[in-house]
Amino acid sequence: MNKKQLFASLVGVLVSVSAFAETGAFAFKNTSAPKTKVLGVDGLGIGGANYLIGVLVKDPSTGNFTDVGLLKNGAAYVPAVPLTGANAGLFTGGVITVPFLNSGGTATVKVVAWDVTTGASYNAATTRGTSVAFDIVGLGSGAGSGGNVLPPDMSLVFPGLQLQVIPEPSTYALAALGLGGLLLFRRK
Amino acid sequence: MRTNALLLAVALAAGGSAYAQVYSQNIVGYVNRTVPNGKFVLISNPLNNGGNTVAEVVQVAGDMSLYTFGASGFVPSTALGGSWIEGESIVVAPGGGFFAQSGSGDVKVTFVGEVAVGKSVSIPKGTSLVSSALPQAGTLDALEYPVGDETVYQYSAATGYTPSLSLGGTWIDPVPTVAVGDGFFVVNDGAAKTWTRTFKIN
Repeated sequence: MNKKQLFASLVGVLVSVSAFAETGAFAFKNTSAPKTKVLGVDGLGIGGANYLIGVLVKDPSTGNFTDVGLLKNGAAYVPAVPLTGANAGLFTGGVITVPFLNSGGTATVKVVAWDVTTGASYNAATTRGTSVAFDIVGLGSGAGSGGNVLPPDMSLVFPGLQLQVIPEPSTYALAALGLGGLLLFRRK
Repeated sequence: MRTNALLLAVALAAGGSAYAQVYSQNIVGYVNRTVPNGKFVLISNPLNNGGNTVAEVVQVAGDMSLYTFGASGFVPSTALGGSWIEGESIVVAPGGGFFAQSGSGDVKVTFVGEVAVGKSVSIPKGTSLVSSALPQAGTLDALEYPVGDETVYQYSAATGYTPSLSLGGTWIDPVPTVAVGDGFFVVNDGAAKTWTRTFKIN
């Protein structure tokens, strides 16, 4: 191997290494097989603008799940609206760039969904659901990183989730009052 | 994969006199590419078709995912049950490239349209996803690619990316060979440049 070939090999190695030092990205969707759906309270796939589906990614530096700083197709992140009709329960949320993870790395994520008619945000909604945490391995190149590694499809590992009705605080208060009254009555 | 037909259609429009004839020359044809089930293939649209949007260029009967690549990274187009549900207006013109994956078995995608005679391809500094603007197979040297300081990455689902390095206008690795309708990445370490072809219609 002459000097030129050696130099070329070294450059090739550096290029290969740099390809795994970029922001990480994955395709936020469940439209590919096995098409595990997001289900409503009734057990049917949710669909239409009354619902939103978001993603939270675990920040290794804090241990918290967050959507702060995420990008969707290179622009500001917004949750996805589920499809309707025969495709209810499915969604396509674009390519999500995670600024605090690298290409080639693993993202630990949770998918959240909520009924916007019961609250504008996930935390405010009283009909909502969250998936268990799961890993997306082999992240692709994120927006702005200039890399060429294809983002992995979340569909393959999405475990699904089902919405549930979360009782409002007043419901808990009434229940506690009733329980207290019952205990008082039994004591007498 | 091969170019199955190439038809030279010469339309003659006669004017008011024998000295006022106007000729319009178009090369039209079609190219088949197979998009595998559950695996990505890096391909390109080799023929001009209308506005070259995804919906115009890629006819689908089932499920399919495409990923184009630009300044904002990868952007998806998704089809379910034979209909594009996102990214259908993204332009996939000759000279660009995109990843494609079928979710409905191996699918033959037929690109139809007109050869983009005279079209040049911009190679910016940094990473870009490109293809030959003309439906021709061969080495990048034979296709008059303006080799400089760059790495060309070709993708195969079986082997991943295969890099080909060039320095100072000389290929260090074997000269990359592309098929009709192949896409490939270029990581250009030099200045932005243009890939221009000379093509004669006889």
